[in-house]
Amino acid sequence: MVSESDGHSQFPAKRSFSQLIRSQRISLSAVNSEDKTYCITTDTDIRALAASIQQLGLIHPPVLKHLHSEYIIISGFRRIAACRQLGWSEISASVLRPDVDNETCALYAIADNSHQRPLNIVEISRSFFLLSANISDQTRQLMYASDLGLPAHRDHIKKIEKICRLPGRIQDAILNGAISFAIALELLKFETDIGIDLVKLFDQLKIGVNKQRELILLFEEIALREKIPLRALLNEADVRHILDDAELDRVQKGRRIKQYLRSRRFPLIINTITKFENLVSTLKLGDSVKLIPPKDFEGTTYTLRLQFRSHAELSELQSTLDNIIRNRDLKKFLPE
Amino acid sequence: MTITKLYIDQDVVDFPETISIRSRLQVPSEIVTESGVVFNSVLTADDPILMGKKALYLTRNKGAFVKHCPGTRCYTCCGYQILHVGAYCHMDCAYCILQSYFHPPVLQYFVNHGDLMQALNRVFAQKCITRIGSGEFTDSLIWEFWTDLSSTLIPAFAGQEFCALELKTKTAAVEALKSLAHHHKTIVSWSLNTRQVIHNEERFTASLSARLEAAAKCASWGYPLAFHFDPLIIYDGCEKDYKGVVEQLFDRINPDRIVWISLGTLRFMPALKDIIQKRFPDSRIVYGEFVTGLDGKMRYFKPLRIEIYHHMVNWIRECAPDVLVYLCMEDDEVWAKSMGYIPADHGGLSRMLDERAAQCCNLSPEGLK
Repeated sequence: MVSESDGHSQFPAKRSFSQLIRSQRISLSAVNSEDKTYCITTDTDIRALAASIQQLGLIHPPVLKHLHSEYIIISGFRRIAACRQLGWSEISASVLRPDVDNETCALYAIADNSHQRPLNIVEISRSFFLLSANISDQTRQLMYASDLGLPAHRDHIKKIEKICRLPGRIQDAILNGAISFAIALELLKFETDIGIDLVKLFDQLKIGVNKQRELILLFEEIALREKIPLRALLNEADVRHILDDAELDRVQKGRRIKQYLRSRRFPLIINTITKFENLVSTLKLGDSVKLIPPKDFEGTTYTLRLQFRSHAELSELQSTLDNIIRNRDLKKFLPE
Repeated sequence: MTITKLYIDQDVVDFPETISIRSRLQVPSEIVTESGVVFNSVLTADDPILMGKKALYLTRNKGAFVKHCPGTRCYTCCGYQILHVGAYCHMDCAYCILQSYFHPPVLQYFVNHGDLMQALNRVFAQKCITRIGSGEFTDSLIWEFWTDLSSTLIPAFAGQEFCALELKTKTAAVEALKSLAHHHKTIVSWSLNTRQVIHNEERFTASLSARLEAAAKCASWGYPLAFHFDPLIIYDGCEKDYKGVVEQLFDRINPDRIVWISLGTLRFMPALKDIIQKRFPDSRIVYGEFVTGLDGKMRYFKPLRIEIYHHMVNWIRECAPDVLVYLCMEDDEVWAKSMGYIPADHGGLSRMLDERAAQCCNLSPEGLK
């Protein structure tokens, strides 16, 4: 890394950079497009870009680095792919000298993306990963991040950086909105296959963050409680049966899955709640009367709520109240 | 767990207890002018909770030595008093509330025993039956390895007739108690659990048989005993295991020696769940059917608690019909369904325990108010 600075930015002075890079014509056959070390972009669709290049030419040359007998791409992955698609054999490129260090390459890669367009969360993650992989000093990492227009808060960086280590399927789910950044971070604790299975499930059910989080917790705790592999649980016949039921829409499937998992995770609690609900339904209370148990049946105070608009309506509730009091099953249910 | 570092508050360097502990505990020591040094050294460790068990901080108790047990009005409290001789513990139980109770948790021992004795004398002077235990913020007998705490406390309680001291432990460190004049005023008590729970969840504690062996020794030395099945942990096969522990207890211990047996199911503040998951990844105890209790702690769903209590009470009563069994922090519904009565029928739990202490510890009935 060159050491001169312009006194304001953390970047090396322009004069120094200019000595590291020069424009030249490069044969595309000499460009290694497989090496994605410096790839920031997540956009793989090159149709519009190819059309533009065909019409206007390659306005902004990619940055390459001469390494051994070939050139690796520092920035311009999509442009090079588009040129290949157009059948070009040669392009103009800005080529970094072979002795340019990885830190400088990383800065070029990030700057060429972050100063062109807003980066999505995966691209930001890739940028942070490049910074941390090539710059050991955390203070300098933060300063560079700030100069490059990236979020420059240490805790934020720590979290976001992990995203690019997730499998592509999960990264795609973040980008298409199937899962949130927060859920993606939760998936990090699982093996890759499990994370992908969960993402597929969320993609199918289209449920919100809180419900996703609840399902993750239920799946995880059932697996731990019953000492079974989480992946096996995710693919159990009962779960699959709900998900594959053609009669159910995705909202119903989401509800059924949650019910199933809750009753498996908390069998006695759910059974008690169900029993009470069934009991209340046999009382035929109507819309004007509500019998509410203590939360989780932990307290001992039950609530009876009556709604009426007149003395006549209140009188009509008398018989309902009598039924409630006389009901033997309810008497058994309530504390003595 | 071995103590690897001794921190000494500069204010207590010359205290006799400090000098004694320093000579008995041959580990590197550091004199500190402020507690922050100790806390920071623990906080910066990878596992501060574990680190806090390896460092012993000798200091002064700047607060009260005798405190009311922090009960809650939502559940029936036993009216216990805590003797705050030290904090934290070098044993490592998965469910231990002390992991999240102290910030950060550091093994501390208070050496200002002059203040301790003054505080006790004030309690004795009240001439009111009082049950005081040192096993709430720490284990009562872990200190036996490096201090003379029991030989300070037990004779002090022996010389009065209104207060009973309870030494609650998971160790078998009772040898120092053998020759002490206790006059039945000290109850030595053990937390008991199944072999599975002790093995999986109670690291560095004495085995069940070692605890019962130690209890039998104390009984032979004339000490009143108590036992605490707390926390009862529900797992597949737990009923058979707990029944076995009850049988083992009464195989070794004459019920006449037992002042009381308490029962309490596992409960924990929600924040402890993460700690248990992180520090005890193989533990399954947090995956029971828990609900949020009225005191904000996670508790087993009430019918589960009632069921295990009901079994335990029956098993204990089969072996020891006259031993006082009580529930720790439960409501009247749970008492009625598992014990067949509620504390108010007998004047309240605190009164029941006071009377029992008076009877078993030869306390003056005049202290029962």
